[in-house]
Amino acid sequence: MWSRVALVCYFVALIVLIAYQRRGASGLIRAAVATGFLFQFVSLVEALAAFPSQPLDLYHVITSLLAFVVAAFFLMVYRAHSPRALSLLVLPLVVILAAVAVLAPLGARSGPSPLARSLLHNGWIYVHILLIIVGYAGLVVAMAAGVLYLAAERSLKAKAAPLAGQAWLPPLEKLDLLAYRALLVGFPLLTAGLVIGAYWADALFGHVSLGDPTVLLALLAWAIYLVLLFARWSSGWRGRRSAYLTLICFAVALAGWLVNGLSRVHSIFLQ
Amino acid sequence: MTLLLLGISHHSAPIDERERLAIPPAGLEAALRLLAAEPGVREGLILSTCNRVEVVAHAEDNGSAVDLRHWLARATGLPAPPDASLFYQLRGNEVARHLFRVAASLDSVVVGEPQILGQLKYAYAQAQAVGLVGAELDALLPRAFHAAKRVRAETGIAAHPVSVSQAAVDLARQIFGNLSQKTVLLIGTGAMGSIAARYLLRQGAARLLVTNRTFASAQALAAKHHGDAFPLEQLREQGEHADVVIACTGSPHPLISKADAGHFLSRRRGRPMLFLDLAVPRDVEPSVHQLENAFVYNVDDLDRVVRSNLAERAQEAVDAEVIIEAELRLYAERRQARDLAPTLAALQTRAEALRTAEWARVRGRLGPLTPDQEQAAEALTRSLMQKWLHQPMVQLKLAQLEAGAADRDALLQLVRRLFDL
Repeated sequence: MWSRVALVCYFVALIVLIAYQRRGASGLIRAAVATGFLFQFVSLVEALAAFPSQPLDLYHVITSLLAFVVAAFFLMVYRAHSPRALSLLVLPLVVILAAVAVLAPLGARSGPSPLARSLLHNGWIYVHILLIIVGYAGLVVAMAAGVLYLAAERSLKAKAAPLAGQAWLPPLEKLDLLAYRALLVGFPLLTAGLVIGAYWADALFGHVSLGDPTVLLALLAWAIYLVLLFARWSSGWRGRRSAYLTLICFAVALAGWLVNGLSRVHSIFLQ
Repeated sequence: MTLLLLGISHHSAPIDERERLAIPPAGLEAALRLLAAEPGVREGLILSTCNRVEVVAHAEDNGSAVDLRHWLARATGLPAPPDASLFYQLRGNEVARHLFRVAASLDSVVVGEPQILGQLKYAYAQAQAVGLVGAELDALLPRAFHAAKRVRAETGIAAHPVSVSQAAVDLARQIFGNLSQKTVLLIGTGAMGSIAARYLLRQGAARLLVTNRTFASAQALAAKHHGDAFPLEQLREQGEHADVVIACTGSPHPLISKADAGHFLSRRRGRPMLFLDLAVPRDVEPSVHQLENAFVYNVDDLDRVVRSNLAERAQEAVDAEVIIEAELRLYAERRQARDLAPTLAALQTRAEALRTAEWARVRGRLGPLTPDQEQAAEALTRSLMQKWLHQPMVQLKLAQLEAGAADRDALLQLVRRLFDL
């Protein structure tokens, strides 16, 4: 219920943003997103509070949580930089995630298996999910900044666009720094999330199933993440190359997210 | 006598051609002397900036003996005169109009940018130093400067400056956002570069580095802005410290090669660099722009960038053109008065000379005269001459007010011929 209200709020923010593309109405947009953010928080608390008497639809909860975290990032970034172009990329994403959380068909309501149930009673699984989601959200912001970076860099290199038209794109170095900071925040959280996941997989199944698509793609995304940061520290990789690599990293992470349903390890929560 | 102007600018030719025909500051004096030696040239002036090369000549007769294109080829050491289609050639009043517009920055890449007036004043001073300025240019250029001052004071052209400097700051902001941590390196102490650097500092840039072939002038400029200077030879070592490089030297060869820029960028670990190449010939190899995180904008690029702002200034420019036209009329009137005055004076001098000669010849034959008689004879001859001259002089003055330029010139010439002036 509350997640639907949240979706409406995000949607209103998006409409306002599109209506006032260049400037104005920043306060209204931020207020709408913040309201949606609060309602999403309420809906999440409600879902978790009702558990275990009411089975959790974990896929929806996780999507909702991701929307929540990206919205949080958005609110933070919006306060600091207020870049319209970034909003135009991130806000639709929030809307889509929130919409998926609300509108996607419900999975079988049979509830988690006994194994999953025991896991869910243990708090660590939530920490695992939350950490990975925040790690991914950092990647989402970095991706959005990367896309804008590429657009801004392209127009500066082409020399064709009049400066006035570029004014709605944030400065190159700001975008680069934003992407870097988002990665910097996301990386340790994703790492911790993966470590916790691996620990529990080992405890439950006796091994970490590297053949599992979600696990494999998450590890691959993590590896690219690491390369991204390392290349920046060691040889000053930044800007365009960094942005492209961020996009690849995001694509891998997204693929991992999408194949969640195929993952034997993770699908136990979805049945 | 006629005013002639040969010019090449961003309106008429691309940067490569302007590069070939630029007259570096060091070669200006020699070029002026060459112009002075040109047969048929009485006065002259050379304006060579990043965007234009213009030569003004006050030529004898109708100027047919003067070929400025051949002169330019010799002055720039080209084997053959460059293609006429690259140039605009003006004469007579059109020269005055053009110079007024140039001085008022209506013909600039960035309309309203203030540098050009200073550059024109410099060109005027240089021509004066060589002795190539006479009555004609001495009358024309101060009027052009005056018109430029009026345009700046009375229109919004200077109130919302969209100059190369402004464009440079905009670009720097596009790349770096806040300039407060940034270092500006100025190569060459030329006017346009210095102004752009000063502008960046005023917009918050933290530090200024200056280098120049003559180290002393780099030091002087650096001291003025609390910056640091280093000799040009250290460019390769020092270049990496600069976030924004402004190059505006008269060097005939690029000072920063692709390899140099690559070296800077790797030392900077990929932090971006903005090169503003305001020099013609260019100081930064165009291929530097291909490097990742390097952005090279030359004067033509800046031209394109700022052209989008011109629409906003259209109204201001219209007002400015009105002022220019008014000033041109004023200038033309004074110029005609100047043409007429010597003729009138010559006419009177000649009449007086005739009268005194005739009187001296006849005086002896009259025998002794009383002072009263002497005075009466003087008055008689004088008033005869004056009555006789009255009508021609009235007609000349009327013609100055009413007739067209061609008629007026014809009448003046006729009078000079009739009275053998």
